[in-house]
Amino acid sequence: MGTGAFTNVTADRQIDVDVRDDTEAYLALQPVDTSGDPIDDPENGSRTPLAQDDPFALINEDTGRLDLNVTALNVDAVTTIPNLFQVSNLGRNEVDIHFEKSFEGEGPGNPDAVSFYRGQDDPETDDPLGDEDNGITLGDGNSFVVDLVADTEGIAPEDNIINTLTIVGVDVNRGDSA
Amino acid sequence: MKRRTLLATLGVTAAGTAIGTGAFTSVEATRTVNVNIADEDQALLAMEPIDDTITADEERGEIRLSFDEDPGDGGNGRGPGSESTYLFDRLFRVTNQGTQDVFFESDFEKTHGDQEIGNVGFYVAETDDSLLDGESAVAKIEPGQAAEIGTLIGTQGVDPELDNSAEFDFDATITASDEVPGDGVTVLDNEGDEVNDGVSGQ
Repeated sequence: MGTGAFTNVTADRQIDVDVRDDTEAYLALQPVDTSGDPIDDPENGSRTPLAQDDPFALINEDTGRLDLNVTALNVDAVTTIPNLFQVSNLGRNEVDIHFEKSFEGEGPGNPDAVSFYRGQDDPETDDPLGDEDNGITLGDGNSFVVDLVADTEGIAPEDNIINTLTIVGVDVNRGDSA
Repeated sequence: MKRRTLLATLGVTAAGTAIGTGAFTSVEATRTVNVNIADEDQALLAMEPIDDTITADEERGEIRLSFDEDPGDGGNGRGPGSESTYLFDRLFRVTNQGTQDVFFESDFEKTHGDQEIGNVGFYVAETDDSLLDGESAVAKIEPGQAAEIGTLIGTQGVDPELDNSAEFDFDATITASDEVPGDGVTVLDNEGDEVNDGVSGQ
């Protein structure tokens, strides 16, 4: 009758986690070329404009994470960088994906000056990739290419703009069975 | 002994699950984004004065053209006359510091209040018969190439008496796009020579 009452149990279980570079993660992020195809050597980065020291997109060889660099914007201008990187769902389920932009540091920054669009969308008529209301649903095995649009009107050259992009993916069925 | 068996079973189950994983419920991946503004002469579309009596850098590095001042070198004109067409060759330099060919064009606000301000256009090198308005002509600038841009000002129909100051401030919107222009648009290279097919001529 009294069994089952224990005060403490310690049981070790094995969990194998293999943290992969962004290019091989369940939610994969890959630099792409001008045609929107993933590049062969992502650590070397995608194309580098003459105005920049760093490529627009690369996989940081130390962290394995995607870094984006758009560091020579014109003042008072709208600049579009098409084909920056690709988001792929290499998991097994359909996920809703949305983007969160932020600046963390001194002052508020200007993260709203930067917008991300799905490559096949038209910034003139389509909404940028934003919060949950402006996300996209990505089936397993599918991917999309991301363009960047920056509008520097009203922003001084020394002002901070953005330094963090968070890509959020959530199973479309999450919450349905709760 | 029984307990060990149980543990072993659990262990196998865990391993079995691990093999099939890939169904994630949620992921938040935070990535670094460096976005900065460069000085105008070092930006993706770099622009800098050639003739610095007319073209100046503004505070924020933006170029500004001024046809309302003493041109210097002993000249003491104060601006273009009425009913005239003025050409100003090679006022500023535009360099493509991006990664692909771009086609340069510009639009102007051609009114000041309710007044027409006449004709204004940019042209490449000395090709003033092809204004780079995107409809009749554009200038193709390859990565690393620079084009020297001049300005045409036509004051036909502008009556300086209408406005005592006779001064017009307006914006030029410069567009450099990789979109290949449609048929009928003359494509000039960065020296002002006609490009046959719009795509890199070889």
